[in-house]
This record gives sequence, C-alpha cells and structure tokens, in this order.
Amino acid sequence: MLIPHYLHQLQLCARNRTLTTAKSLHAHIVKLGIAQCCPLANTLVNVYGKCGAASHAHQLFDEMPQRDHIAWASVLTALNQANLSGKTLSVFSSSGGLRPDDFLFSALVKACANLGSVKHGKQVHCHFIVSEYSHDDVVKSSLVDMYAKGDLPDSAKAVFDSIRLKTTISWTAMISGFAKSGRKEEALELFRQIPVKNLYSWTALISGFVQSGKGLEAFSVFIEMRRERVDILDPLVLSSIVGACANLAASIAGRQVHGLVIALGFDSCVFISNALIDMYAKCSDVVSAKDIFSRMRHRDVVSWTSLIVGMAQHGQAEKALALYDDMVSHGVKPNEVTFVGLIYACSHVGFVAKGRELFQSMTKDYGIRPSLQHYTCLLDLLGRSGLLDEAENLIHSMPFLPDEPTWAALLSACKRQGQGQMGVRIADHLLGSFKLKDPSTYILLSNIYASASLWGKVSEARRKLGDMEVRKDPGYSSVEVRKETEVFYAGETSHPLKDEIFGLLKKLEEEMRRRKGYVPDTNWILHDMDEQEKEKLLFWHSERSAVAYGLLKAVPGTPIQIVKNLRVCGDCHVVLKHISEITEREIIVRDATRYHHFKGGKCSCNDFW
Amino acid sequence: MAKTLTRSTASRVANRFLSTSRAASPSPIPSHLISRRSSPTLFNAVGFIPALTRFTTIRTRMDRSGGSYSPLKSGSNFSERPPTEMAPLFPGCDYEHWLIVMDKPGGENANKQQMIDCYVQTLAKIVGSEEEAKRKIYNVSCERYFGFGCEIDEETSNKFEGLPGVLFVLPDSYVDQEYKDYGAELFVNGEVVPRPPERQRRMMEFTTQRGSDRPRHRR
Repeated sequence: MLIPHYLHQLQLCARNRTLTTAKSLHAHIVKLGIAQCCPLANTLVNVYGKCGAASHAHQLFDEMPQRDHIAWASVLTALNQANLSGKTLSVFSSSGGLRPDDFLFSALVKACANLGSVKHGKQVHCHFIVSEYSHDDVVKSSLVDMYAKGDLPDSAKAVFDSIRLKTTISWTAMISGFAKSGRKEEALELFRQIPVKNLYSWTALISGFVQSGKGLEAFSVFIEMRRERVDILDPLVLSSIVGACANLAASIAGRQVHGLVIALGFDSCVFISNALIDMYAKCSDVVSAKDIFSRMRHRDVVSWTSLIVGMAQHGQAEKALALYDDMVSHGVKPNEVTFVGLIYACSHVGFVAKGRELFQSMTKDYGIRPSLQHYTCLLDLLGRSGLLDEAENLIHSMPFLPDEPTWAALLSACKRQGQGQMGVRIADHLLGSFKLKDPSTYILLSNIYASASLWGKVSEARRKLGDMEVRKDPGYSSVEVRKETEVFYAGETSHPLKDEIFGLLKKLEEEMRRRKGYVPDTNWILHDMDEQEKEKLLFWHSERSAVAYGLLKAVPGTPIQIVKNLRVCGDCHVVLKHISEITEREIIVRDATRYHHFKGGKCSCNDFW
Repeated sequence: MAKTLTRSTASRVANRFLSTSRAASPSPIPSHLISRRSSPTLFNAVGFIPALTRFTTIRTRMDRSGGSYSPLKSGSNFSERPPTEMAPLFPGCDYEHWLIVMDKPGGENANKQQMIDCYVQTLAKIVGSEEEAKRKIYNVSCERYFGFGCEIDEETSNKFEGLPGVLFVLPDSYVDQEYKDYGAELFVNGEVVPRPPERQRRMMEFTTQRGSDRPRHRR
C-alpha cells in the first residue's frame, strides 16, 4: 500500500523538480524501512538526478544492492548534467561488463562528447554497432555530436547518413560539426537542406563559423537570419557574432551589434556583456570596454578578466593591476586567464617583484597550476628587466618542454640587453636543436651572430631561411576609414591613390631623416639583394601604405586603426613611432602578436614585441 | 604653431598632417557592415581552454592560433580532463582488436563471399598479403552491419585512414564477455566457422535487434 503511494509522490517530485520534498519523502522511506525496495530505490536515484542533486543520486546508487538499467541510466544522466562526465565514465566502467541499453548508450556518448574524448567515444561507438540497439537514431544523433565536438566531421557525417529519421537535433549537430571544422561549403549545403530550421540551427551554424575563424561567413549568415526575421529568443547567437567582431577587430560592425543587443533587451545578460567588453578591447576601445563593465549590475570572473586582459594588452598595466585588487576585494576568484593578463601587464612595466608575487599567489592562494603561457610571460618579465640568468634558469626548471618561441623570447632579451656571449650560446642551441618554423627566429639569429661578427653563422641562418618553405601568406594590412576597410599588400600598391600615398610616405621619410636621424634598418630584410632594393622593400611594407591612406582619408585627428596579419617589423615600428610624432596622430596597430599604440613618438608596447 | 613645409604637389597633401590636429571628432555614423576583406583572426589572448592550446609566435603567448579568449567559452566546453589513464570502458577492449566498418563492401548487391573478399583485400593493403589478412581477421559481418574484426596494433589501425570504403576504425570489445567473444561470424584462417550451439544461442540473444521499450520522454 505504502510503496505505490511513495512511488507516485516521488514521480511528482521528478516532474516538478522539487528537491526538498524529495528529501523529506526519502526520510520517510528510510524510517519505514522500505528504502531497499527496488522500485523505490531506483525511483529515488532518478528523482535526485532530475532535481540536479547528482551527488545524492550517486551516493544512493552506490548503496543499492541491486540496480536495474533505469537506475544506471538515471545516475549516469545526472552525473552528465552536473558536469561530472568523467565520473559518468568511471562509474560505468566499475560495472564490470554491464551491457548498455539505448539510454545508457546515449548517456555514455554524451559523457564522451562533454569530455571531448573521442578515444572513449569510439569504444562506445564500436560496442553500439555490435549491440542490439545499433539502429537507434537518438544514440546516433549523440554520436554525430560527439564526433563533431571531437573535430572529426567525416566520421560525424558517416553516422549522420545512417540515421533513418533525422531530427532537427541531428541536423543541427552535423551542421555544427562542419561549421566548427571550417568546412563552410558543406555546412551551408546541409543548412539549405534542413526541413525545419529553428533558432538553434542558425545559432549552431553561426557560432561554428565564428569558432573556426570564418567570421565573415558568420556575418553573412547572421544577416540572412535577420532578413528571415527569426526571433532571437536566446542570445547565444548574439554573443557569437560579437565574438566574430572581436576576432575581426570590426569596431563598426561591433557597435551595430551592440545596438541590436540593447534593442532586443539583452544588455543585462552577463555573458553578452562579457563578450562586448572583450570585443571593444580587441577593437582597441578600452574606454568603451570599461564603460560596459561599470554598468554591469552582476559581474563574474570573465567580466573582470576580460577588462584586465584588455587593459594589459593596451599597455595600461597599472590600471589592470588596480582592477585586479578591486576584483579580489569584491571576493571574485581569478582564473588562469586573469593571471596571464596580470603577469603580461607586469612584464610591460617591469614590475618584477609584483610579477613574481602574482606567480606565487596563483598557486599558493588559488591552487592554479601555471601553464606554459604563464611561464612565458614571466620569462618576458625577467628578460625585459635584464635578469637573464634567472630567465634561463626558469626555462630549465619549468615543467614544460621549452620550444622555439620560449628560447626565442630569451634570445631577444639577450639581444636587447647586449648580452652577446649568452646570445650566441643560446642561438647555437636553438639552431642545433630545433627545426625552426618562424622566419623571424632566423632574423633574430642572424642579427645575434652579426653583432658578434660571426659571419659564417649569419650566412648559415640566412641559408636555412631560404631553404624554408616560402610563406604562404603575404603581408597585408587593413585600415578602417570612415565606412570602408582598405587592404594593402606588401609591395608597390596599385591603388588609385598610389601617387598620393607615395608622395606622403616620401615626405614623411624626409622629415624623419631630418628631424630624427632616421636610417632604414635593412637588417630586417634577409633576402639577398642590394641595399637600395632592401630599402625599397621596407618602404612598401603594407602597414606604411595603410597608415598613409589613413592619414589621407580618415577624419582628421582621429586615431588611425590598422590590422596587420604578420608581426610588424622593427623598421616599421620605428617609422610608425616617428610618423605618430610628426603628424601628431595616434596610430593603433594590431599585428599578429599584440597591440601597438603609437602616440607622440612612443609605443605602448615599450619596444618589446 | 602649424608646422609648414615647402610646397610641392605631394607635400600639399602631406601638409595637412604636419599641422596641428583638430580635436578628434566622434566616430563616423555606423553604416553597412564591412564590405572589404578583413584580416583573419589575429589577436587572441589565452582562452579558457587551458593546456590544449599552444601559441606559435616568438615573443609572448598572448596571441593567435588556437587559443581563443572568448567569453563564449566561459562555461568551458570541456569541464574536466577525460581520464586518459582510465581503463577501457568495455571488457575485451585492448586496442589490439579492431572493428573496421565498411561502406558497401564489394559494391551494390554484393553477395556474402564478395563482401568477405572485399574485407580481405582491404586488410591486405595494410598488412601486405591476402594470406596475412586472412590470418588476422577474426570475425566478419555481412548483415546487420558490414565490417570485420582484425587483430592488429593501434599504429597499424591508423593506416586505414583514407582507404576507400572504410567508414570507421573502432577499438573492438566483447559482445559475450564470458566466452571472450567479439561477436558477428567467426572467421578462422580464411573461412567462416560456426560457433558451438550454446555460444551461438547466447550470441543471438545478445544481438537480436531491440527497440527501446521505454517511453522516449524519459530522456
């Protein structure tokens, strides 16, 4: 009599997700001594799972003498939903050979997808194929998702093709898989074929494209989505598009999307605000980023970190550190990314003690294990401050294998500090131990050897560079001027305003020579050619044409914003500093590694890039 | 205060910039989205996806390739590390036995023998000869799914990548744990071999197609 009553009550709890009621019912059941009764015990596990109390469910499950498939499915699903998918797999494998049913297969595949473990996913897939449930479309849909998340879109497609009754969920999972892997034609092709599109299908496509770096495609799809008047009830798609703006440094588009966010009423949404802070920072508008931050009523660690990192990247180190103090006093715990930003900030203003202190604090106070990024930032800090021996010891003592960028960072510090001998020693090590991938490493090596007059080694470095594969991407810079973005490639431009650009650059160069004693530094060109040709090459580096165009066309007095796909070369860095001083304009350059704010003859990166 | 220069055609243009700048005007009216090409993803700070991302530029790591600091990932896609040292999920999964699933082996409407020939030929491409392939194959399936099980190591299994007709290469595990049986039809030395009746009965029980007998909404 009692048991059916409690069963019914518990099922109501499961449906309504009422955890407290469930707990009190559980208490009754225990006192009545019927807790071990199988249907009740199973149902209890299920109820705790549905109410989000995964640990309760798990505990209860462990105590059960007999468990049926429903209990297994309940506990594994509960663990998945509580983000404890690692436990899902370990609990299952403790079963010693339980044969999964379709629900269990689903839960297992989802766990593998959540963990990003294709290795375990394949084990489950195999077992699924040979099992009696091998035609189950729901499991197959989860498999598509698992392979898509594991970056194996071909496997995902093979499973997808075998689904008999494709639902919107399976279509969306497959499209997401293609989009995330950057396979845009296939993603779009499939998208056109979906019988019923909903917001999630659009979102999956758009955010997939953003994640795989296809920001422009994401935008076209977004515009199409707006044209079809799809109701944006869930703001995830908006935060994806804001992310695209951030990656593309598209400040004009970014502001429009911001407007849309406000118009649709999502401006109080924390994760969208976080995305906006990051976007403005990446568009070099730290003021707006700060503005959004100040207006947020609720902030999380990502909000603080986005702003800290933004400030750090734009040379506002003290502000970043002050903000961190503020963050801590608000009781918000920093994460790994916060510390990368902070140590990076310290390295720009030479706060060695502070940097070391933060590094210690990371492990000691917050239990965060330093990653290679943290070590590299610390290395930069020590290098810039001339503590080269300590820097080298750091490389040897850190729990990561030092690679080309690590050694190159130390090498460039040696060069800057004029430590010739150490520089040569490390250069030899680098040349001998690594098959170098970055051409600028060769430039660095060649310069180090040149300053030590080791001409044989200089030739060796240049020859090895020549042997390297020709770089596929030519250098180009884009500049945002009024409504348009102009792109300039390295080399003599064929732009309609070529003569004006040439004239302006020539004029500026004359000024630079006259006022600042500027001489083009042809060391930055490693190719074999005579001095004059080298100077001409430098003259036509794309960022210079872009700056000239910006000066000619942009609204007078506004900062000129340039984005370059490669690292700015040393000579251009000097030239841009001079130009900013001569023309009294602020020039902001985002290159492949950092931001440069050129103002009044100085750069925010403090000449260390 | 204006710094002027000699007048030449080009310098007239240049002149503008060498004079005192006016106060910065506010940003232009927002317009259509960017029409020209823009640079690809350049500058990304470290993301919430730790450890798995590596940066490749020299000076610092606060940048491109792979690690994308995106607030989208604030929840973190991968909440925990998969326990890679963890034991395989299913008994018999030892990464020495592999299930190779194929797409239309032997072509459309192939008969069973043609399918088996296809399996042997496919494995032969990897292990060198058909004799060797026949030795390595321990089961074949030509009905519910099309594929075969073969005893090779993990490194060899990777060679199936890109072979025509191969859909999946998966680590095999027991269907019948008690008899350490990987299922399908037993294949020994190039021949399909029937199972002892008891084992066959169990195998039929384990693999008869079953649909879910519980209502879907429970998921």
